[in-house]
Amino acid sequence: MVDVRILPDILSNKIAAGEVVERPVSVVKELVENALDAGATRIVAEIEKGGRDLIRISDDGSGMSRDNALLAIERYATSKIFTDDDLFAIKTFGFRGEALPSMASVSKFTLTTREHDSDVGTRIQINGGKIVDVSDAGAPPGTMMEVRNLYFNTPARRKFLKGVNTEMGHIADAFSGMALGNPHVGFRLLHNNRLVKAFSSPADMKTRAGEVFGMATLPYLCKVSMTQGEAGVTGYVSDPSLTRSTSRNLRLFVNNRLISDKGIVAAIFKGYKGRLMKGRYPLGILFITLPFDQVDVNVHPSKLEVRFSDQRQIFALVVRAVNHALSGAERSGSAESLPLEEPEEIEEAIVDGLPHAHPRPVHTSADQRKRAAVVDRSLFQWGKNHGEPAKNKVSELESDLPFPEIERGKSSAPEVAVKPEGPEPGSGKICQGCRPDPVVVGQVMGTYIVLQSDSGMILVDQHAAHERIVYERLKKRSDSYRPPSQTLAVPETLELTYKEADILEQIIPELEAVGMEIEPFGGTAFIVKAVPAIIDDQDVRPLILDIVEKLLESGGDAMDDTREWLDECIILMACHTAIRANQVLNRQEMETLIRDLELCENPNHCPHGRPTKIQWQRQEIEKLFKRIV
Amino acid sequence: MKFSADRKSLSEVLAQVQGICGRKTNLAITSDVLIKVAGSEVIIMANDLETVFQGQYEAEVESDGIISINAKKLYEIIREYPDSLVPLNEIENRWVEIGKDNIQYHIVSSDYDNFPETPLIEDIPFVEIESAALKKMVEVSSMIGFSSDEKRIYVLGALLEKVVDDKGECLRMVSTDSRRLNCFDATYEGEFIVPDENIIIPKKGLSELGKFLDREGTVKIGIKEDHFIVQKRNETMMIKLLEGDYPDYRRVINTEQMTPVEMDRTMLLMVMKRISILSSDDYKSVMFNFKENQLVVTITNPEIGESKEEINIGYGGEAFESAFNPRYFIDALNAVDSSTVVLNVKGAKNPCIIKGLDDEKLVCAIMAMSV
Ligand SMILES: Nc1ncnc2c1ncn2[C@@H]1O[C@H](COP(=O)(O)OP(=O)(O)OP(=O)(O)O)[C@@H](O)[C@H]1O
Ligand SMILES: [Mg+2]
Repeated sequence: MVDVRILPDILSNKIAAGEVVERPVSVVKELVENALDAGATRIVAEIEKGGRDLIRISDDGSGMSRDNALLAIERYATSKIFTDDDLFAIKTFGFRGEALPSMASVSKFTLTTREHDSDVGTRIQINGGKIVDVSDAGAPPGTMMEVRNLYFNTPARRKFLKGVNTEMGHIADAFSGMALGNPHVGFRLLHNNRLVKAFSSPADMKTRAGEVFGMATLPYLCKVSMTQGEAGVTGYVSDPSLTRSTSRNLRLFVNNRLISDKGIVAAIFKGYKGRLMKGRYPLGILFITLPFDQVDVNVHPSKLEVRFSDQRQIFALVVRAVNHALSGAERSGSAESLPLEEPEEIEEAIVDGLPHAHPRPVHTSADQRKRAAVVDRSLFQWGKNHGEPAKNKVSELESDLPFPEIERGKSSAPEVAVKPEGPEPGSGKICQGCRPDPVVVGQVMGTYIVLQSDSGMILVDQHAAHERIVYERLKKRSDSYRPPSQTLAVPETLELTYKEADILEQIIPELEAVGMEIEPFGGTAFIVKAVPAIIDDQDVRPLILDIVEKLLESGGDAMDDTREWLDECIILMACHTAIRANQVLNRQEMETLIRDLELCENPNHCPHGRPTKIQWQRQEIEKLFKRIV
Repeated sequence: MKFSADRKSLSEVLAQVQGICGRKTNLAITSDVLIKVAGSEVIIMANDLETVFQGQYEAEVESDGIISINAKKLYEIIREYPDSLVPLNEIENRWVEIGKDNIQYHIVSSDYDNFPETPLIEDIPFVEIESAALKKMVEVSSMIGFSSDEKRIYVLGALLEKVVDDKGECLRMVSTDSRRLNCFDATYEGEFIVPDENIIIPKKGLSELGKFLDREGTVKIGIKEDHFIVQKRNETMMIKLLEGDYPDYRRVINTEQMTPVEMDRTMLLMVMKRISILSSDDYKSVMFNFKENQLVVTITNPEIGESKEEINIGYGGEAFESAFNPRYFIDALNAVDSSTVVLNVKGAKNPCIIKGLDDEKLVCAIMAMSV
């Protein structure tokens, strides 16, 4: 390890001073860059409350000796620059020796470090810039920096911190950026003990791009590679058919340093030459390499910008490189097929000891249906030994049913429900206390169905009623099968806010369980690749946004109970599928609706809990007309 | 305004515009037709602000004039009129008299000033295309519908494109609802000038256009600003284009990495018709099991039962199982002209792409389902 020295005055004055630690993301960025400078191959960032409570970065880099560690926390102490010449050809991320002391002065800071060939490590604790403890510490080789309670001693600044989600959004963005720039290093980001990002190591540039932008974007990425003299541009840019509404997924690196530069973004646009819609931005990573003395990295307090000594040449090179990449991709056929990788197949495992249990029509109990559905989709063994063995199986299972007859009556013979006369067991459901067999009188306001029952008049809200029917049907289904899903020719893109994306990402497996296949698609974007077949004639975007919105309202984190969530999701699906108010129904449709409603387990309320029907007893009506008192 | 016209031809024209005038809009005037009489000609126009029809017909004209009158009522009156010649006469205050002697109607017409303006059709660079080809193109595209609350532009409309490849230039129409995608190519005469924006024609208008087109002869088509224009001898149809992105459909119909399987069209169609007997709204997926030289198609509907069919095919690729909606196969197979169809397949979850043997004009891609 190179020793840390304090920069001579003159030199340190030349270094752009300024606010290093503007917000939590600056801390993360400085610490990760230090770890990268120290040659780490694995970096873990643990964040709590968007960085307000804790930012802890651990690396397996070189580590520091106790002396060096003590020096490192002095202002202008750096191991990276010694002379003026060095300053004009900076190869490392850090060069000012300013980051650690700055953050240590506004937080409760702990530095734990151990060199690889040393037996024992050092721990230094600093409280608002004052060293409070220096001790030996057992630690793995490498360095761990902890910044707790950022700005605890400058309440004004603390107040200016944005919400947890906003700050975390910035952190995740910067983190992904640094991961893109350093594919040979493994990165993990945890927020409140939950893994938010994981990038394996070592990866190549394209794999890493896939990890960050979403694997589904890979077929759309065109390779960029061009050199001119000592300058070079490499990386990937997205096919013009894959764009976003912000430039957030366009990552620029100059000599591996993540920077932002409007000029280069403009150059990239120029390279797309009319291939982009107005207001759309491509995805991409672009690495610009050039001799260290031809770029000044010391122009911005957070090192986010650079200055090229020959800006025109660099821009021109970017334009040509991007244009070349895109026209190359077009020539070689934009023939790539849609990204339709297969997701993990649902294990066709046998749940219990019955290796050949067959699926039962719906009138079996839920458990049996579940088992059967997983095993085999066929009722019989097709072909040779037809008849006997299969039949035996069926009756075998049948005898297991607790109430085979009633169950069967429910679904396989629904006609009974609207019989003109005769009380059937289990009918009488339509309204407690009233006889069954309501007769459809008609529809009013295109929304309510008027029924006449023996004891009075019933008004049914058609939307609520249908919602209930669809809901129970979907629910029954999802209890037993993974509903079939329909692959989309045009995968729908969802562009979400960081908050929404976070929620959606967590519920992807559950959505998959109801037949909705969603994949991350770079940043906070997702693509919907398949939708539940039962709603395949609909635009699913509003549905998904609705689900996410609901979860956001309910606090998002309260998602431990996935069943409950699934229910919510099914309710929404039911709502989106159900017939609406103000929809004229014909007689047959009304009768079917009423009959189906009657077959529901809970026909009196829609899944949101609103009533599906209101009843007036003959007496009440007569009272209203003052026929009786 | 006073004229008499041939009952049969007038009634045919009015039948044709019922689709345009019958649509519910909040503008009542769009359920009218505009009748303009000048010289020896009658011009009839229908316009629902999206689709415009305009036709010129011979008539015995006594005096010029313009009226705007309810299309449905006028059609019904003329359809049932017993004589071969119907007289129409604007008497006063927008009252229109239809018929004469012992059969007479007096119908209120509306103020024709409110009738929506017809887009100007001048200096349009037209190209010529066979009416039958365009009709097929339009039918294949409007086969894929959309639901009433649909908002996605690429589902609401079909894309029209000029395709230039080694076989020359042709026009292509692409239509999708994301579950399937149809693509139809047709050749044309003349120079088709492609505008900057995508040409996305609403499917609503296309289904009107389908009725408008004959099975023989040629028609002229062109694009003027935001309208797609089709011109027959004396009749013109204009459809207002939709604005928006159209997805990259080429990825979907690319068969490069796929295995072609030839099958008899009628046989497969029958299989699909039989197997779909057991499909319902909730269980619409049919399993396709591709094995060596065999295709086994099965459906299981827990609410009804199941069925299975085996077909011998020339398939030597890897065995796999995939699910599809049989309805889309039926539609596609009905649209293919050749007696042998080629299914292009590639493992589970990939689309099945149907073409006629030696026929690249029509491509139907059916997206897989997963169960
Ligand atoms: N994770 C680490 N592993 C090993 N050494 C480190 C680590 N972090 C910091 N150091 C040492 O501490 C010194 C001071 O770090 P600091 O970030 O304050 O300054 P810098 O990186 O040199 O410059 P800058 O202010 O531009 O970041 C570094 O020069 C380096 O020698
Ligand atoms: Mg540093």
